[in-house]
Amino acid sequence: MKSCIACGMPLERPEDHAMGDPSKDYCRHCARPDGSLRSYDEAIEATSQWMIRTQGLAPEVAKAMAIDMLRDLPAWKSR
Amino acid sequence: MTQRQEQKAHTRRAIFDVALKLFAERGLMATTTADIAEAAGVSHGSVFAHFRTRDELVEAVVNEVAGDIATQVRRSSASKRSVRDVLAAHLESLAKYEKIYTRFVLEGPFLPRRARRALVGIQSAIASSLEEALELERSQDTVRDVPTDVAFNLWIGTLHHYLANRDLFAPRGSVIASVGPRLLEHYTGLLAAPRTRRGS
Repeated sequence: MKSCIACGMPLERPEDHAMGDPSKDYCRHCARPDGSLRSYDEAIEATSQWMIRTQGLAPEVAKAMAIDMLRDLPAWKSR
Repeated sequence: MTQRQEQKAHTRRAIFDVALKLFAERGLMATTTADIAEAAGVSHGSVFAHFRTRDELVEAVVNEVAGDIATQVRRSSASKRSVRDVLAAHLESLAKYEKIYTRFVLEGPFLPRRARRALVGIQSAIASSLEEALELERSQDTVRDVPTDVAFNLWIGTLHHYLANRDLFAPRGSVIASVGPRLLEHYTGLLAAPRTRRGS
C-alpha cells in the first residue's frame, strides 16, 4: 500500500491524495492550497498541532514526536 | 531467496514470535534475551545476530503490533463512519493483541524511545479516525460538543484502566470481551447529543 512521502498517512482512496490526484505521492493534509508540498517546518508545525488537538499532548512533547515521526519519511530524508 | 536467506528469515521470525509470546506473558522488561533464546531453541548469540540490541527486538515487536492495530482500525472505519463504528473497530483490533497490548499500557512509559513513539503512533491512528467520525457527527448534530482530545482521552483512559487492572475486571478471561460492549454502549450514549437538541 502506498503512503504519503511527507507524513506516512496511507493513501488508500483517490481523495486521500493531494488535490484528489492519485499521481501525487503526498496526501491532502500535506498539500498547500495550490497543491504543492508544504515545507518541513510547516509539516512539523501541522503535525504537532494535530497531535495536540486530537490527543492533548503537551506542546513540547508533540513537537518532539512530530520530529521523530517525520525523520525517516522519504520527503525529509535528505535533510 | 537462497536457502541460506530463507533459513535466516525463518530463524528471525522464530525469535520474533517467541519474543512476542514471552513479552505478552511475562512483560517486556522482565523478559531477558537469554529467556527468548532458550525458548526459541537458539543460542544467545543468535538473537543478537538478528536483532543488534534488545531495544531493537522490543522495537520490532511493538512496531509490528502497532502497525497491525492501526491498519485494522483505519480499514474498518474507512469513511463516513460513526463514532461507534470507529470505537467498535478499535476494540476488535485490540482483542487479537489483548495480552501484549496490556503490557504496552503497563510498561509504555519505560520503553525505548522508538518503541514509545510506535505506541503513540497507534493512538494517533485511532485519534485520527475518531476525529473524522466526530466531525461527521458534529455536522449532523448527533454528538455533544466535546473537543477531540478530551473525547479520545476519556475513551482510551477508561479502556486502559480496565486493561491495566485485568485482575479486577476479568481475572480469567478477556477484558475486551467482558467489558468492551458495555463501555462502547455507555461511552457513545454519554457522547450523544441530548434528545431535545437533536429534535430541534
